[in-house]
Amino acid sequence: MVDASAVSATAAIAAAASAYFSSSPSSLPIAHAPTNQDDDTPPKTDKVLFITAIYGGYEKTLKEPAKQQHPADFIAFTDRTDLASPTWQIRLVEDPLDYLLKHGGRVGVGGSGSVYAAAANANAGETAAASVAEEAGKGHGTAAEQAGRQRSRHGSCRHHDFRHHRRRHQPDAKLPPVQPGQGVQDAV
Amino acid sequence: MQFNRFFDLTEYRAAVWLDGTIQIIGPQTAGLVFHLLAEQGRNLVTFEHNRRGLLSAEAVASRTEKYEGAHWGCCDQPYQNVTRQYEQYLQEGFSEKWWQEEYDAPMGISKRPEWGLWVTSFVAFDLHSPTSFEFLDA
Repeated sequence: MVDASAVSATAAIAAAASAYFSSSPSSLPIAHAPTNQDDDTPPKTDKVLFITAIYGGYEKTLKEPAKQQHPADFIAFTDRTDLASPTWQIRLVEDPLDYLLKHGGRVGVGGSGSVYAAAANANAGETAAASVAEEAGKGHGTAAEQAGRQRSRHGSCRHHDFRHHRRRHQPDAKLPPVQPGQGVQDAV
Repeated sequence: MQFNRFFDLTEYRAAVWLDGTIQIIGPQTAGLVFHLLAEQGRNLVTFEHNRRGLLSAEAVASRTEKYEGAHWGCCDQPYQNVTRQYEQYLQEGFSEKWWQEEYDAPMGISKRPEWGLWVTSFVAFDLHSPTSFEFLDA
């Protein structure tokens, strides 16, 4: 049983997703209705967002990913103030559920600046499978070094207004206004 | 975590929920996710734990210092009750025989809902698909 408590939530998500999608129409189109109809919404891109969560003192480190040839961002939620990474953007949220409840159920948290610009010369043949591996938990520099890198990367953060996105998918949703300073500050 | 509640995702084509124990070591991981979702039209992509045999056997084999010890590698760690985790898995709907079912299945038979919940640590969603948000908001 590898890291059972850690994978439990993810596994449940995957299982539910499996059941959900298996019951969806198979004819679902690849590209759906235009999703960038509002003039004030940022343009869609091809970026991939990686999200993880480090909670409860179980994991000791963030695992540094390999630099991606495709545009990608990395964001980590945590209740740990000592986590730092040159790649992961840290979002300190002690209690995600409580945080959502206090902010009306949906909020923007911190910024999402691009970590890796696209290296468009990707030699990304289909046979070159992406490698995903469990890793033994190696550190990446001293805590002071990590904190320094993190400070330089996240000296400021901006807060997103998600309302256009919400309206697009749930037109009847009543959304709370997002006030300046409502987002959560970076960890360091 | 309903990560979609924390982000403005409009600038992204795909979101990958990644377990904290996983390290991405391939530089083309994001590209592969994009290819499978955007170019092949899949709604969901996962990488699952690759195991064989019974879940209970996995639990027994995991009763080691790595999980039950107070210290592992460089660091102190909390005690993990592996047996309790195993019982929790079953309560949540995981099957004792999931890996065995998969391993014993004839060639060409994909995973079946009746096998129970999947164990996976990597789930990628197509953010252009309303289906993804319907699922995440459910």
